[in-house]
Amino acid sequence: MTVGTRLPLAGGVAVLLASIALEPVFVNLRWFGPVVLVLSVVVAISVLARRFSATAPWAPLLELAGALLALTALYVPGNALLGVLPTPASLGEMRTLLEAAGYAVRTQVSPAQSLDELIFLAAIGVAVVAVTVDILAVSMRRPAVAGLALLVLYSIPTAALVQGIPWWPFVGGTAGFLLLLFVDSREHLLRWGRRPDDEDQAPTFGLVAAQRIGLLAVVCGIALPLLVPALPPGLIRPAGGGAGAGPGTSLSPLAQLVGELRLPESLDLLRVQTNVDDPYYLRVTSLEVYTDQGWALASLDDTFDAGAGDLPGAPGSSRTRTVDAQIEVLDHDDRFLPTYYATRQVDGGGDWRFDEISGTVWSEDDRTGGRTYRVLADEPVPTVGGLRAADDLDSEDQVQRRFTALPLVVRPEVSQLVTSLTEGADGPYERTRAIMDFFTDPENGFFYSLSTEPGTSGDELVDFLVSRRGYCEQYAAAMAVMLRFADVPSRVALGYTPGQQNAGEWTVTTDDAHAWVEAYFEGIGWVPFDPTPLGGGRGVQRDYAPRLDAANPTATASRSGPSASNTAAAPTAQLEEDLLGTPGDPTGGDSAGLLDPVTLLLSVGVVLVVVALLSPATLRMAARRRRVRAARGGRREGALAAWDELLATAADFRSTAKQADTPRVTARRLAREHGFEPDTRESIRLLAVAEERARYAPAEQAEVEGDLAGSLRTVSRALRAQATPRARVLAVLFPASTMVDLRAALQGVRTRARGRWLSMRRPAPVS
Amino acid sequence: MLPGSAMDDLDNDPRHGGDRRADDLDSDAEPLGLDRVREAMGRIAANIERVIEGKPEVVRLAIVVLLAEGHLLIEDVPGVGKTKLAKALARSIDSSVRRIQFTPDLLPSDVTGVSVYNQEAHDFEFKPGAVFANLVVGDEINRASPKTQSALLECMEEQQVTVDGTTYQLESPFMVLATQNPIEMEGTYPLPEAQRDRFTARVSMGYPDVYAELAMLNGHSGVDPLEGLAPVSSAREVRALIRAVRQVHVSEPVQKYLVDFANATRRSPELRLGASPRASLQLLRAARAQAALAGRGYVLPDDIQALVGSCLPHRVILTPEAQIARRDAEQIIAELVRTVPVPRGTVETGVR
Repeated sequence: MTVGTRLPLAGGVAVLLASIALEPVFVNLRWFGPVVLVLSVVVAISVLARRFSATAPWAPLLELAGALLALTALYVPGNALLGVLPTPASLGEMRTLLEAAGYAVRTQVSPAQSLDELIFLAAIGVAVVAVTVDILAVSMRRPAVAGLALLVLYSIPTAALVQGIPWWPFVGGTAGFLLLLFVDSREHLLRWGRRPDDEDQAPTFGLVAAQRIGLLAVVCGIALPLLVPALPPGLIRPAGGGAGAGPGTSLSPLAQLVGELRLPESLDLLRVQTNVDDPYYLRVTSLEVYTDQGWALASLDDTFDAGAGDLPGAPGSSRTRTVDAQIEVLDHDDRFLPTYYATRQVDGGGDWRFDEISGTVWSEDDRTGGRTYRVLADEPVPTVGGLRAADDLDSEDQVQRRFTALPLVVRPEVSQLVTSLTEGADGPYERTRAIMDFFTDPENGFFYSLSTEPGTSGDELVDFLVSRRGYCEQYAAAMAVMLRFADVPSRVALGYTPGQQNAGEWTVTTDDAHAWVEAYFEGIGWVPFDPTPLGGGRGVQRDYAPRLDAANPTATASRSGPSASNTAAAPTAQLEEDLLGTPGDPTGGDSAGLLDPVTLLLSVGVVLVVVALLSPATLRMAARRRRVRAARGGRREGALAAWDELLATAADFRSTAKQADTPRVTARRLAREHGFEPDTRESIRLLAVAEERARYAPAEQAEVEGDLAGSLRTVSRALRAQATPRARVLAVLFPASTMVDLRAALQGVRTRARGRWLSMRRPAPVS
Repeated sequence: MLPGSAMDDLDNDPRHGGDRRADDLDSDAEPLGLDRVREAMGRIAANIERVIEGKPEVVRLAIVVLLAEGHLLIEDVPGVGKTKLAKALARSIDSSVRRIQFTPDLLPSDVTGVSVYNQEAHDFEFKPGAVFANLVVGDEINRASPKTQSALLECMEEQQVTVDGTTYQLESPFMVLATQNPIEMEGTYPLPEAQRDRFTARVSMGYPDVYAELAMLNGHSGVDPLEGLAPVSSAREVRALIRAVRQVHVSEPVQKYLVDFANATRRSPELRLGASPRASLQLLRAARAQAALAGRGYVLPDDIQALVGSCLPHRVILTPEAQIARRDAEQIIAELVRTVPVPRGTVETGVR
């Protein structure tokens, strides 16, 4: 038998349409090209293979090899032979890419940046799905089962997007699946003609079956996105975290920052016009929870509407200046609104909330994309004198307790360092300066690098303090911890440096993503400190926090700058991961990474469990157990169940009972087709007689004679013995009877809907 | 043994006795058990088969029709034993038998009977016609004029005869066995649809196979085998059998199947006229007899499938297109058997 080229093509188109589901996962369409290329290679090989050989059991292997070549040519041509053939070196490079992708999956927020490693991962995924669909739909001729493989693609946005999935990827996938079914039905029809029991259906070239399955697919397609994404927020959001619910999504601003910094090409995010010449950093939010997993966001208060007039003022009462900024959003799209510290007013539409403690303007539903908004802020202008005069807060003070909390034991290296640095320092400001100077003193040899070196100490903070290379995240995190250890209330602020000034406008790009430290002083409030040695004049210096390296900026600029190096060396992953991870602390507010391993594993696990539960094999097993139990019970139900099970087993071995056959006709036909031994014939006769008695005899004559379960076992064994090993495996993994049951169920629904007496099947007039 | 509705008969009849049913000899007796029904039917069949060799299915069908209170149309070429089958059945049962040779000049009154003036009594007196018997063998029924044929109509359907405004009840059991010759049609009057519909089943004898024909030559050459055929049953027993057959259970899915099937013939694009509701009714009765013949107390769809080939083709009319395509009714009905789904009925809500 020839399979033709339509089916492999249809499979490819179905995978392509289903891969639309990846669109919401990425910020742009860069992933599409590589995915299409790899998919085309797989489909082309499948088509060619079926040209050469009808069954082509080796085709999937060739397809996998083709996908490997295509991926090699796309991503690691340097180490490959002729740019295409994989070598050990190129394979090693692929491994590195995969590891980087694993890291990116853990750290990226969705929609994720179009990083090469993520696209690489997506292309591999689509290639595997395409080969699976090919095996199922073309080699095994089970296109309906191939739908499960297509469903895998949907599990990606389902797991990654917590804010819900748009409807249109499902339309694409459903259309692809329908196409696959349609083409398969059509091929079937062209080769074998219509099944005799299908004669009541108008000649629609298999559309009817496609309609039925398609209907189910659409129903599932609508139901799944409604059900699945509804789970994670409720399940994963920690219970603690102060007043009000936390954000419905556990966005990780820190991961967002890393993603932006690592972007291969920088994107313009914001255009800012301000009334001041030296605006300080644009602030997104601040992280106040420190655990052994790193810094994380606390729960955000959603009760305060940021659009409703003046916001509560920042704590403290130092002198302020008014910053008035008009911000136009370019490529920025986030649920945190970049503002200036001590925001008084936000004006720009949308449902924005204000979290007073962290000073964050955020939204559960709205995003910044495409907006233009105005921010009015009362930026504190602390003086050195004022800061010096500030006393330590009372140890029972709310702020003091909350923002000096260090739930873990600080390593002796760190504690010794802090103690020695702050020795003799008087008051919190002096201590803060001492720690800041430690980072900015050129003597100490800190320099900026997007790639960090792995340490051997086992503690990331210690590693950083030893290697002294890192970027804003490490600097800010380390300084904030050290401040806390020195009893200065502190937190990590996230946002953007002011960017490039051009004709009165500031342009903020992804390279400006930044993290710094805020320290709290009594009577003054939160004061920003930036320990990171930023090059290129990006950083802003304030009088109260002079940089010791400021006199010699070239020393750091020469080997720094956010664009210095963006090769994500695998070893850095550990440190970053630990800095970025989720707080395990129950009091610690919301989790950080949206795609953090727990969420991801949980979501994928839920999807896998659902798929496994719905899988034909499981359904079949459950049905069998139910029926055999009923058969053991004997009586009328037992007879019916035994017969059902017999029919199902026969259907699994491709002898579907015709609807127009009576029990004894079916029994006779099965016995003939499978060449049963006399005792098997006797068993099947017993089952058939029991069935017709149960169905047609009056209740008082419906008693069952003989051992139903035993006979069932005999017949099932005989059926299995007749089958080829391949058929036996198929009968277990993809039992055809589940499709028959599905069909019957659908028919039952239809029949009931039409009313009992009107439901008589009538042959459609052949015109 | 079928208690249920059978008990109704037992209770009712003696209490409201005196009506026609009181005449039924066995009405106050228990209906026969299934095994007795089976045995009696087998006895009759064996007796007939002594004469009609090699045609057990035709013989069985004839008995089924008898017990279904129906009538049998035997249609085949001359000389295959149509009349012999009819006579053998008639002789096997010890009952009144009349034979009518239908000819073009046969009059309705010859069939039904006539009122003649009795000079002594000074009154008209009814002389019963040929139909006043348990078994009426109508030979070459298509040779009689439509007028005479239709005289049979009332008798067959209603088991009664009305002459000069007076209605006379026919005996029970009452069965018409008509033979018809499908070739040599000149000067004949083929039965109209209305009349064909009154026959429960139509059978073709078909040519006997070689061995049966050899045996027939050996056996028939000497004496007429019918001569030696002794009755093995009686009208009284047949009445009891009929009552037992009436008790055979017909489940809802089987009824549904029957209706589905009749509907399928009505909707078939190849049939201009499908099966009538009377056809369904007669089919159901025949199916009961068929089940009883197998010693079963309930009807299976298999019984219906086995009977539709005999009970439906003579009632349906093909469309001109189907006729041109050289299809015949038997073919179309056989195809419907393969396509009409067998319902499982309400029990479907059990374990699935």
